[in-house]
Amino acid sequence: MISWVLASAIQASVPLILAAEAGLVSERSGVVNLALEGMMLSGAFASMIGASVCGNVWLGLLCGVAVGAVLGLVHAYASVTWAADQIISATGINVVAAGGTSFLLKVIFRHAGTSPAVPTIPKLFPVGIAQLPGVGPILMNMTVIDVFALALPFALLYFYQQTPMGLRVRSVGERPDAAESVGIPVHRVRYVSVVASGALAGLAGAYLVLDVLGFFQQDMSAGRGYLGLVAMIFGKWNPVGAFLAALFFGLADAVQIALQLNLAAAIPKEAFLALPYVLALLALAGFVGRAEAPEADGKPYVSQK
Amino acid sequence: MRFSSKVVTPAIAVGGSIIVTTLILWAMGEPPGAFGRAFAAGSFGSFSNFSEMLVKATPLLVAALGVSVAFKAGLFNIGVEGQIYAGGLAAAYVAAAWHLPAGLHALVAMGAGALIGGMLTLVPAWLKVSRGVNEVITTLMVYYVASLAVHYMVVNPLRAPGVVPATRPIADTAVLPVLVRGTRLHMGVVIAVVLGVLLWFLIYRTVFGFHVRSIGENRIAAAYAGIPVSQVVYLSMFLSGAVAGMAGAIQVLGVDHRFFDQFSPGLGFDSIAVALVGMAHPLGTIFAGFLFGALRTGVLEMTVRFGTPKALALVVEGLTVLFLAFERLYRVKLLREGRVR
Repeated sequence: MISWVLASAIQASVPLILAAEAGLVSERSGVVNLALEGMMLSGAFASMIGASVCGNVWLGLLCGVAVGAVLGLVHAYASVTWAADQIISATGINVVAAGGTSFLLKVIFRHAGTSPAVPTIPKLFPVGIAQLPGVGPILMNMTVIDVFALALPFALLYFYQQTPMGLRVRSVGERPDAAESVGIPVHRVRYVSVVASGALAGLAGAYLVLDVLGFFQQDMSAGRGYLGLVAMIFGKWNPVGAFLAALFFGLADAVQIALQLNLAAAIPKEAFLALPYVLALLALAGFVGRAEAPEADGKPYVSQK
Repeated sequence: MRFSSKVVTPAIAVGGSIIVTTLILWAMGEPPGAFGRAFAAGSFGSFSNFSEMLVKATPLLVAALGVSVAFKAGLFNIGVEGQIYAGGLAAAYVAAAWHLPAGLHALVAMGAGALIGGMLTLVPAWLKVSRGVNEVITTLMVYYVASLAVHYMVVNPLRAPGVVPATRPIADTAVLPVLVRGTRLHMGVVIAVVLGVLLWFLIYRTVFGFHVRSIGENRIAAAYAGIPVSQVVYLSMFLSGAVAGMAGAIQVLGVDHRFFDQFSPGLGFDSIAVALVGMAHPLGTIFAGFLFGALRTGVLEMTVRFGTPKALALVVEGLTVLFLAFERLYRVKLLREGRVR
């Protein structure tokens, strides 16, 4: 029982982990990426189209990542090159993504709501592994993306804390003027970070289609992009902190579903769903440690040169 | 100079997004100009279309006024959607459960909506003032908590018998009167316009409004000038949420006459687009509200005529917002304003 809940917790967590790390990659360079939601949704849609047109799940995955990256490029062009209000740019992307995917879904497939089924990502282990006591159910659904999502936070932690490149990126997010004065190309760092962020968000969306559901559903990102940002905040802008927060939110979701199935809900499910947001608000209020954003987060930087 | 960019930016954004959308539709094989004709017919083709446009524009416009009040203070109240729902639910409850004379009942119900909407901004305002936390993410979090709470209330304790989750119908004394017999056009549209003018007066002709605009332009300078920044942040956020709450109340009292769960998903985010196109000016927002109302009915007309998906309205809206983000590009390239604040 517990290992089944854990297994579903991991599947619920992975898109949140990817979204949280995507948000972090962008914000560490000083750009708030509230467009994660739209990037996820577009990535999900593109991966469905890619997988059904090419008939190949990996090409579908690539399409999802690529579309996320392209939207990242749009966000970077607005907010880095033209010093746009990052929230406005992101809101535009989110609304276009919500409208555009629903519009295309209707136009292409003629029936609104869901797409036909597409190929899904092969599991790493043979089906028989589910019989394994304890870890069986957890390993059963594992795919390459799960492994990637579980490893990524630690790789990012190493990158941002131990490598010169990572420290440079963080300096751009904290004090872009100082970074520029020592020769760090602020705009280029922000471009690369925001595009990488978009690619990760696209991957998170592709995961929903190619790993979880096997088809595209209208508005299927369902706030997970925003929830990823909340996990990032609850994790205090630390890659591993964000990872643990996302895991915890995924667990809360899995527990909620298990309770619905088994106990006919003594606790309303809305209370569980609201939990991440309440916790993050408490974290921001300073009741659960101190959550602090990078100094220059969300502030456009106009080059002094 | 300032005047020109205030008009040019939204004009480019709206025009640009309409052109792009027309091109997309044309590439899909719709006759060019179909969009424009459907747009005109859907909103102005007949009096009943025109009145429907006004009905659709009303909640959008009121909520957008709420967003623009916060914008004026340099604050982004992205959680309007939650304030709309909570305000609508509070109004529906008061309008159904209390007994008051006609007219007064509607006013009290709207007041209840405004109060609840305003209260939802208190936590973000407090975090902003005392912890320096960006209000964008906090208003968004409060939105999620509020909309889950509203959903719980409508589906469980406040649910009236029926297939669709909704509250009890409101009392006749609280219904906003219909202005023209045979249409759904109700008093709310008048309230919306009056509210816009009042907010314009408040922001551009009073000391409080001067304070709001000062902290919006430069919070640090405003603090040096002795403006009570924290107090103004609290008040302008509360006012923003209160007006958004009224938007939900007006929709309930004027059109739905009960609170339907999720009565208008996305209304809050649409109203952000309206406030942006209106350049956060109350009168500009009134204009933008009617424009977006017309967009809604125009797309509805296209759905009827060509089977175009309704989501087209969102595409136009999103492109408009995205184009607005490039404000600085237009200033530098088109208006030849070199440095921007």
